[in-house]
Amino acid sequence: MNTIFNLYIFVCRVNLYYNTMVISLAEIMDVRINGRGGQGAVTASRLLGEAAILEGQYVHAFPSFGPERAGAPVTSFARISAEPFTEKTEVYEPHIVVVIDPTLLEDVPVADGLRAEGTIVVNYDGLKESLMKYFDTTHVNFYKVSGSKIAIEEIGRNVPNLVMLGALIKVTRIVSLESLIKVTVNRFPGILGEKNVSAIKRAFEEVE
Amino acid sequence: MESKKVPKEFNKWIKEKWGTSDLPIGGVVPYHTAYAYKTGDWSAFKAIIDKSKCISCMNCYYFCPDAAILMDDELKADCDLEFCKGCGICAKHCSADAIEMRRLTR
Amino acid sequence: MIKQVKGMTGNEAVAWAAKLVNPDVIAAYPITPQTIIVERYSEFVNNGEVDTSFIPVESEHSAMSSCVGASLTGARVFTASASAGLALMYEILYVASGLRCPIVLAVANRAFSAPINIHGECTDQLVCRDASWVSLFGESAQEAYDETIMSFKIAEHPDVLLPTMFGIEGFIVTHALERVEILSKSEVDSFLPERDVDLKFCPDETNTFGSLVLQDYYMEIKRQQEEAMTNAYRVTKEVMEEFTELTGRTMEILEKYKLDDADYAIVSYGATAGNAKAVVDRLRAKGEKVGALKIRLFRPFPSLDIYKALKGIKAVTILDRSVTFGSPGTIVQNDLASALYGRENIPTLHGYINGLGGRVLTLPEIEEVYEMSKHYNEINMSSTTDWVGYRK
Repeated sequence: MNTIFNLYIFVCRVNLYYNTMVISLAEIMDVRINGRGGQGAVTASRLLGEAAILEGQYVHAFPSFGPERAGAPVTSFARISAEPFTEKTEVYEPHIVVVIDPTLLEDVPVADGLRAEGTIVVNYDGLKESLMKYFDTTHVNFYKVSGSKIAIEEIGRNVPNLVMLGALIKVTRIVSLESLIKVTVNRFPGILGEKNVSAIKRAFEEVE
Repeated sequence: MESKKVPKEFNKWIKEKWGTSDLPIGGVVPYHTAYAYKTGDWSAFKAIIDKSKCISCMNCYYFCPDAAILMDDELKADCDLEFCKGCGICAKHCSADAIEMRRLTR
Repeated sequence: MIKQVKGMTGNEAVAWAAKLVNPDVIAAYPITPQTIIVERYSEFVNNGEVDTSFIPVESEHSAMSSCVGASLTGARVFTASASAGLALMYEILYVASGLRCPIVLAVANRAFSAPINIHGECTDQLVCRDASWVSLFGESAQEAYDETIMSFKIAEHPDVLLPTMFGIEGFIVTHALERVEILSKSEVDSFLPERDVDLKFCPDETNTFGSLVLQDYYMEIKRQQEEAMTNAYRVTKEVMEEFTELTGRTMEILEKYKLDDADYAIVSYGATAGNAKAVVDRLRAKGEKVGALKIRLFRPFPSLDIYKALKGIKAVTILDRSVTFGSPGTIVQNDLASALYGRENIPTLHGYINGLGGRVLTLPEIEEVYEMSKHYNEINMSSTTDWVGYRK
């Protein structure tokens, strides 16, 4: 009885996998942001969500909370759609992955669960082609931007979270540059906001 | 000293046995219900107050757990033996040593 | 009507809604994942945006005790807690309901220790089911916002006068940014007038509150609470109807999703209900006749409404994000079974304990348990209870 049942479940699972890909691709965009504690992965998902809400989209954006400490790998998620949706799970099969810290490439399987034809944007200073050794690049669109360099030059600190969002929206257009700038200025009033905005704009131009 | 009267509502509460629909909600009972229970006859000791020693500090008044100490017209301590349980807290806290606890003999 | 929209997390939604309500007293003690509610609200107090008296207390036991005291004087009172904090309040929960204090409590549902865990699970609120509190569950930040405002109206209704708690799940709702349609101060003021108090604790009206009541009256006073609970069912429905009129968002004690022609149903509450609805969409796309039922009002348990909603369904999958040990079923399954027992045309019930301590039951896994329920139904098992989503 048990064996039959397991077989039954297995068949379901295969069916499901197929269906998952078809149904939700059309409507909902799942974004995963990989960073390190202190780099602002949480703020990034929040601002991405706020920008989408500003445009009238529906959002479920939240960080994965664990034993937080500076430097530990952190993930945060944003699920964005033009239509209302009710899903409330973490993102396991993202359409888009943003890697805020280049050292994560060595430590964490950043492209884990990334869908075929999905997008991954990496903060990386080297040649774009050399990203191939970190994850399978055959079925994904991958982009890189020298996020840390831009952050240090524009903001003065290596906090490339919003820089990476600038690069992300250039290649995916899930929210507009104007919305992102608006929520950034709102969140960081004054000089810090201005610096972040110029960093976002630079990343928007420099992503490759 | 004036005697403490039990309010009429409380006698109703005790005697009439209200049902669910008549009873005020939340277990709220009429005030001064403690007057119905003369707890003074439980005691083995009674507080004897030497009024000439009393300096009106009112320590006993505030510390008495049963509100059995009342201040008289000259603001000297007085004990209502109908409610005094003889705990001795007033004697312990008296700053003028004016209260003595004496064993009751019945 | 132009809808004002704001991006808020579940906790922020509660704090902003409470700001509109502007309660007289808040006494609260911080605990993850509820902290942000109290944090934001204390900012409002500090900035003078509200005229609430904020009492920082040293424990949840004191928080609820302060709330009871304040509520007896006729004040409108709000507090928030979670998990261990709610457990520490447990003694005073009964005092609050026994003294008929219409306190509103926001619960950020979190798992109980040990082992210590800060993530979402609804056991903490469900175990308060017998405390004579009206108990609601919210699925999203929007519902957290709405239920904050509605809870005051339900609790303070003269036919109810019972404290009310509403729960949103830790992190997955409390810390997740969502789109929230907000109300204006004037809308809330017209919906929720000043609290009207009949009997209050004040120097001019001498009454004894919280006195000793023994065999002669205790049972009558408890029976009054039960009658208030019965009224709470009607009042909650009325308040939700009124709220629907105010906002244009349908708010009901049960949310029925594609149930009309369904052969199978998934019953759940809180954030899980969102996932259940997503699963229903997926299964419908595959041709399954399935619907979802979300329980928004858990106490008083709307037995008859649930029977009407589930009548004629073949099998019900109950996703219960809570745990009870040695019980005949999951907590909600037990209630469902009692509600349906002996009636005609009832479904078979299949309860699943899942998602403990923040474990996520993914959509494919929910589809698996749905298939499992169908299978149980086919082999004529009328009631089953399983644990799902754990390693064997």
